[in-house]
Amino acid sequence: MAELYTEWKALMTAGGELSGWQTFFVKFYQAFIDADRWQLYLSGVGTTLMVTAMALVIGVVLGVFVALVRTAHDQQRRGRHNPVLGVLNAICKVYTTVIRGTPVMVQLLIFSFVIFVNSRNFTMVGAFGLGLNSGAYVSEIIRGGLMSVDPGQMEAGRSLGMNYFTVMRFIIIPQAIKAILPALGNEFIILLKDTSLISVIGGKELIYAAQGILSRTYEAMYPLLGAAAIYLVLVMAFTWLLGRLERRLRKSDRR
Amino acid sequence: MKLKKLLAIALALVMVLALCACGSSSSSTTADSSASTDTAAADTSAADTAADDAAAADDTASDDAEEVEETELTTINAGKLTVSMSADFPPYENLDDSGDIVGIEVDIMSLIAEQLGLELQIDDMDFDSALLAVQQGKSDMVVSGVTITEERKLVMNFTDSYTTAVQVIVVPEGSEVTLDNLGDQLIGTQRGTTGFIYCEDDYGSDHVVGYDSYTLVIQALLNGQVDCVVMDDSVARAYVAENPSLSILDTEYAVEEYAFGVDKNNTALLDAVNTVLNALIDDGTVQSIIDQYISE
Repeated sequence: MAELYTEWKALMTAGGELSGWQTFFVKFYQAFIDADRWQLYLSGVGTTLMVTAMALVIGVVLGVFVALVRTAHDQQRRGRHNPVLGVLNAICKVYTTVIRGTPVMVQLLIFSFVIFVNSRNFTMVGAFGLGLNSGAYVSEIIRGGLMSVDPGQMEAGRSLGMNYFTVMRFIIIPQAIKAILPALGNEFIILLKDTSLISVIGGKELIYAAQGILSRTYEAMYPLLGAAAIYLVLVMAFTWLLGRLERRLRKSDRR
Repeated sequence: MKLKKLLAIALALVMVLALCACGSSSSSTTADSSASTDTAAADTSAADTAADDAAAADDTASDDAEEVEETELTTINAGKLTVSMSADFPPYENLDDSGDIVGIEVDIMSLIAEQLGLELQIDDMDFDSALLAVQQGKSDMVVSGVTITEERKLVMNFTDSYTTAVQVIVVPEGSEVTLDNLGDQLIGTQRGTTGFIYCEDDYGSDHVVGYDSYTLVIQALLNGQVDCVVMDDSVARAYVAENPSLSILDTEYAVEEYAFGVDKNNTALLDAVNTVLNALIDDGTVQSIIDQYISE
């Protein structure tokens, strides 16, 4: 393999004629195998997955919190407003408005070059920024799920003597989760693909690796197609897992 | 009924497209003729060949604007010299306060384009995209302080070098970085530049961060997110002049030669540009342009 590559590469350099698949072999070998470049893609994928996981955790925690505050605020009885909840609700509203109203790219640049100016861990800054971004969208998805459950269910639970959190935990949230799962899965997939943006602030994920190889070999097609294929495989695996989860949750629908 | 409606829509589309076609072709021919009259006006060049070229362009312009396309030079957009560059590289090319692209290479290229009887069109993009554009036939030339390297020679033709440049190390004031302990530092570079490639080769990718533009690299250096930046000498001086807290190390990292990259399939253009460029170098025009921007 390696000898064939050196031989044909030399031929190509000298301007010799190569058949179609020989050219393919040389360019493919150059983009993925030569100088152990596959390791770069692999570590890139590792970073991508790690950033996704971290952003996911931050996003879901933030999202659940914001959604709980906002539904609790909105579902208060008339004339009995809790002032603490009012303040929290205002903060959450500002957060969602600002985050959803500005592009992720700008947010990442601000996080890296304005806020965390002393951090050298570009990947972590990126993960934090993406998590904060995702939280705003996740909160709206979860809020929609919680609001979609009929208020009568909460009233029924409370009148049976359960407290607010028990009703949430055993009655509202299990029903809401089923309703929001497709939308949430959508958000996770977008998050996975958005990790490619952290290459702008120096995060060394998959696209950073692909672009680095591209700028050395001056061959765009194979690194970019390779990166695209890897993303596709990741998303497909993720979709499959999500599908299984949905099917399991649907088991109790009809008996 | 339905069929009639569809037919009507299709016909309307055809008419709109036809009108579009008219519009663009007429505008491009006017651009051509204005470009060649410019050339005729600027017929004061010292270079013989260039003067010939210009005279030829002058003739065709007086005949008919359409005939400009018949000069031997074929370019991607007829009558235009499409140039890709990354305009964050002062003083070679950068955006001035009003958003226009200015710089040494812009001045040289507009002289060259003028003498070739072509209209200069500059596409601003990332550096690595600019290099790719010329190999993929999206631009005729890449003009962005391109260093001649063996790898790049495989994918594009280079004109003769018009100046040499030095890769230097930019550090913040009071930094302890030297050429010898560079391997222990986090080095900021612009991705795709020779500085990026050399540093990754020398110190491994763990010690190198590649950003999309020099502006971001310098910002990272000012923030202390990288220890030093490896970049071209004259560009570094422009950035250091703007930021007094930065300084340039006296030791050079590498010495390189700048040239313009030309579409590998267009050797006629390469020869023509080389002829004009060498004439401009010989009569001192290039040096005077460089001196105008870089005063020692």
